[in-house]
Amino acid sequence: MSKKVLFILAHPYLNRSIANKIICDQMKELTHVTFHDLYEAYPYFNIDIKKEQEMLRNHDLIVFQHPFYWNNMPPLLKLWQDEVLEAGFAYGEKGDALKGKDFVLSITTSGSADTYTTEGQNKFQVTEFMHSYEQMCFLCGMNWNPPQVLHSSRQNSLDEIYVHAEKLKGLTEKFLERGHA
Amino acid sequence: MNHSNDFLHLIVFLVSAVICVPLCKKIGLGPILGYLIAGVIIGPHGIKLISNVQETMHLSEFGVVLFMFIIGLELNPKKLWSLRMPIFGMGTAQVAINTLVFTGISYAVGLSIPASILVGMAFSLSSTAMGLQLLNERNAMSTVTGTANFSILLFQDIAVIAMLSVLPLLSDGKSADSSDIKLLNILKTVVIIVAVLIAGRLLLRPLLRFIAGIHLREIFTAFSLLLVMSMAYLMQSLDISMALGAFLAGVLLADSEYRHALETDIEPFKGLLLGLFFISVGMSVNLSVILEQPLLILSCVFGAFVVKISVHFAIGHFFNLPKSQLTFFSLVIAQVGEFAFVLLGAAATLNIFDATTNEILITIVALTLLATPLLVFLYDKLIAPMIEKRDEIEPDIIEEQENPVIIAGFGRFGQIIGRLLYANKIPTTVLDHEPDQIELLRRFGFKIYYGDATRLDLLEAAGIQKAKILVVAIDSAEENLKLVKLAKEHFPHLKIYARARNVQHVYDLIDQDIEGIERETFEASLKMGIDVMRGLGWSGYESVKRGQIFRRHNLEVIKDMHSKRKNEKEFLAKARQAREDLERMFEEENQLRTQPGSGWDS
Repeated sequence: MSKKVLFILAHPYLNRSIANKIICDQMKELTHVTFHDLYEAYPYFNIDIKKEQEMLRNHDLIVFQHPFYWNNMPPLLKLWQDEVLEAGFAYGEKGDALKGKDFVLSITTSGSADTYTTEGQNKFQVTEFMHSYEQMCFLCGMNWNPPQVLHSSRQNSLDEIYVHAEKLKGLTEKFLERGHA
Repeated sequence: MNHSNDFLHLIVFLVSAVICVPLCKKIGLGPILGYLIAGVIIGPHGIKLISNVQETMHLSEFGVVLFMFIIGLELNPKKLWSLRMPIFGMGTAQVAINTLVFTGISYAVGLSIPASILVGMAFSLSSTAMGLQLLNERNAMSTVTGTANFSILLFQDIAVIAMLSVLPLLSDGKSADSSDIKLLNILKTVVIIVAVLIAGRLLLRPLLRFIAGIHLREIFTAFSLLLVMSMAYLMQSLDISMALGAFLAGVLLADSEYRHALETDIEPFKGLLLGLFFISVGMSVNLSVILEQPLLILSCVFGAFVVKISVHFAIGHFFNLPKSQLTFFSLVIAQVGEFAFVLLGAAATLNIFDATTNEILITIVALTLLATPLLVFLYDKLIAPMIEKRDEIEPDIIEEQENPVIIAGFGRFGQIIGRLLYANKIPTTVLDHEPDQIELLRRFGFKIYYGDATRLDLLEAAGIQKAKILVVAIDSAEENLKLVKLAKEHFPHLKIYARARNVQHVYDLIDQDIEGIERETFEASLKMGIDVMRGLGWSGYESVKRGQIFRRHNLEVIKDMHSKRKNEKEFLAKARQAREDLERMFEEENQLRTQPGSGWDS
């Protein structure tokens, strides 16, 4: 059986983000990739927990795609995390539904790469802000893979965005071929 | 010639009704009195535009028949069965006691025994048409006392069969030898009725389905009328009242899916014919007879009311009807009914009493009919306010419920609230005057009180003293506000949540300073507006966000307009006010046209 990818997008105003739009359009071209727009599915934040869990069970690679706002995930994704990744499903006793799956965090930041330095306005390395994601993987038994970051998402030229999107697409295709990230 | 005459009569009826009824209604006397007065004016004893009273009355009696059919539609066999106590208990008591009292009085004033019995029977009956119409006008049909009134009227229709069969015995007393044949006749009647009921049960629904499947509205209407008329005719040919026949036909169809369609089709016919009926009652008021012996007639009318009201009061008391409603209960059926005309007419042909007595009696009967709406008017103005006051001090003691929530009005709106609470195990009491779903709701553990929720005694019985929250989900803005004010005044501890019909209603509710106000269509329309935006390709969250901004803004504007309205615009006409409000809302909303959430574009 071929592997499947769950691409979870969390962007409240997708049509205002060129970068996220291009990334999504690229990912949609792939077969075996389920494109899941959280803000479109749950604009009222009434997440269907059972359905989300079923979806997670049926996929092998989980991708979070979102803008890095206040160096964190958008609120609906946080709510999704709180409600869907519950004890007994994602962790704790009998909570092994995600065990062995792969995880990739893919974000866009409006700040450039050098803002994520001790001297920059974000003060910390971008990966330092990802500890909570990494810990989520650890607790759920998922494999943490190198995060994909597009900096300066508002200043980038279309070409630069496409290069990033293609790279992401290529990684995903490779995963589908090899069966692991 | 005859043709154009009929046509002219029709015009006379319509003109008189169109003039008198709105006039009476405006004054507050109610439409029934309007019809009656119209009848008095155009009748043979008025300006003599119409002379054939009997014929008119005969035709218009069909209005009563249609009315009974519609009532039958509201009562499925199960509900009817649950009414057996009031029908046979109260009904028997009402007919028997009144007959006895009136017979005694008639005999005492010097009528012969047969004549006294006849008067006793005739005067014990009430007017189904008037009683039901009075109840209907104030939406009281399904209240406890309304049901009691109806049950008695229904029993009277059954009693009439017996009365008619006694009639020949009164004229000579020799026909008693035919009792064997009588018994056989009764048996035959019962068999036929049972056969009709069974056949109706089995055949009517498929037949209606077929007729409805043709999709010709007028044919469905024609069939509805045919159904009622043939049932009524059949019953009449069995010497049973037509109204009773129509009622049974209604009951047969009470749980069919075409109930509402039948009801809406028959309703206008019923209304017009009932109007005609009241006109013909008015026509039979003989002013010259009254003028000849005013004292005698007026004292008889007065006496009849005193007797009937007292008897009804006693019966109501005995059967534990709510105290505050007893007067109204007694009054609604206090008149001598139209069937007295039939009995008196038959008695005249049998020579039970002389023509003058007969004429006087008929005039008395007509006057009681004329006086009833007047008395109800006086009741509303004088007695009802007094009773309400008394209730405050001495509430009816009915078993009290202690549910924290009471929902008044369990239609489309209240139902959703009730179901949400039910799903979360919050015990809820429901008040409604639509008896339709009571059985079902009771089964699911709701406490149901049925009747007019704006009645203090019902609210108290429902345990409003111990409730925390009252949800006013009644759809009529007027009734809704009435209940809010009543609850606010008598039960200040309550949190009140009210359904608002429109912005005007919202203002009225804000004036009452209550906890929660929700426009009945606002949230749903807003949600659909959001869906439309999404349908056009707007992203889900953006649409929702804009909907939320719109909602908040709209609520602020309403609050603002309400306070401004209070200060300056009190004299604007309501319609104009509504338009200006709308205009202002548009202007304010024009300023909403900016983008929310700028900064989310990374």
